[in-house]
Amino acid sequence: MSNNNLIKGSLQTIILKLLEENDRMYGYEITQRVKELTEGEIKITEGALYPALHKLEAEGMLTTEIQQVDNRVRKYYSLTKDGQKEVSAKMSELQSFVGNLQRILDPEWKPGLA
Amino acid sequence: MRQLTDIELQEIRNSIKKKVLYSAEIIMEIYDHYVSHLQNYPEDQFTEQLMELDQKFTYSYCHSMQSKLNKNINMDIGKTQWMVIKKYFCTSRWVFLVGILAVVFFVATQARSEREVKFLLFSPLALLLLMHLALGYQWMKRIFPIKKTFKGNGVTIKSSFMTPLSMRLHMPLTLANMMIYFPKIFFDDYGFLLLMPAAAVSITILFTLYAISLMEVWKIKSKTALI
Repeated sequence: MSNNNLIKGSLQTIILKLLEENDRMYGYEITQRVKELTEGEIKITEGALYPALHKLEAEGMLTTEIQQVDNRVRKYYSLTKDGQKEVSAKMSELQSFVGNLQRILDPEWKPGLA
Repeated sequence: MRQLTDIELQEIRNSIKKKVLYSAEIIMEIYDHYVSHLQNYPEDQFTEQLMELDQKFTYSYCHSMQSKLNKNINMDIGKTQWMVIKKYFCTSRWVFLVGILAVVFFVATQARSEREVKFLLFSPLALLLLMHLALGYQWMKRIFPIKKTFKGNGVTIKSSFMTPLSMRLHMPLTLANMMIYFPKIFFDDYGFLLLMPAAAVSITILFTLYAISLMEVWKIKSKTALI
């Protein structure tokens, strides 16, 4: 099974977290940043990225800004106030899920142990 | 990162044109993605990388993204307008709302003849009509560079915000037409309900609130969208 199937459910959290750390980003930049952070292990597919960005924008989590770059228009995404609040909620939700998954895979595992 | 040549940029545009998209938002986002990606590869890998991108951004994927975006924008505009209307009733804005209502009420009490009541009823609609003209002008101005870049696209390029906003602009105009002509089927003196001052004031207040909130939605969205 590819990584893509595993990250599908956490894509929104990844986007929100990246935008929390970087003031504003555009679509391609997000894919490259994920690739760079995971040393190419995780590649966000364009097929999933843009619909997720548009959905987050419609839900009021992201706001956009249009800028002219080299004779073309670039759309930058950044977090709204609601989006900033949502990041911590999504992060703790994901961390708790990863913890539970870890417990299933390794019943001996205790949080905080390497 | 390198600068792409004019021929390469034209190839990218031709590739996007084949997808026959009409949403300016989607076209500009895909175009930026293509260019940003291809700038990272040397000239000899251009064709191969362009083909790879075309396999990712297939016709069906782009159209599905376009339709999802339209749906999201429609939902977003509705939500924003409702949020704006709700804000009018908040303590910080009540003075503004009371001011508008007082003006409408004052004008309504001054209306004596049938013609004056009709003017009262149609004033918010005239506001919407003016807004439609201004919206069309601004939209043309913002969309023109994209239309020029993708000339010969096959379908007319427009902002995904345009249709839902236009529909919302037309709705009260259609409603007003219906209110005027529908009773005509049943009553001889069809306008009597509409011309009652209380009814006229209520309808005018509703239309005014609707028109002002829609104008505010446009103001909010025009900061970030192609409208």
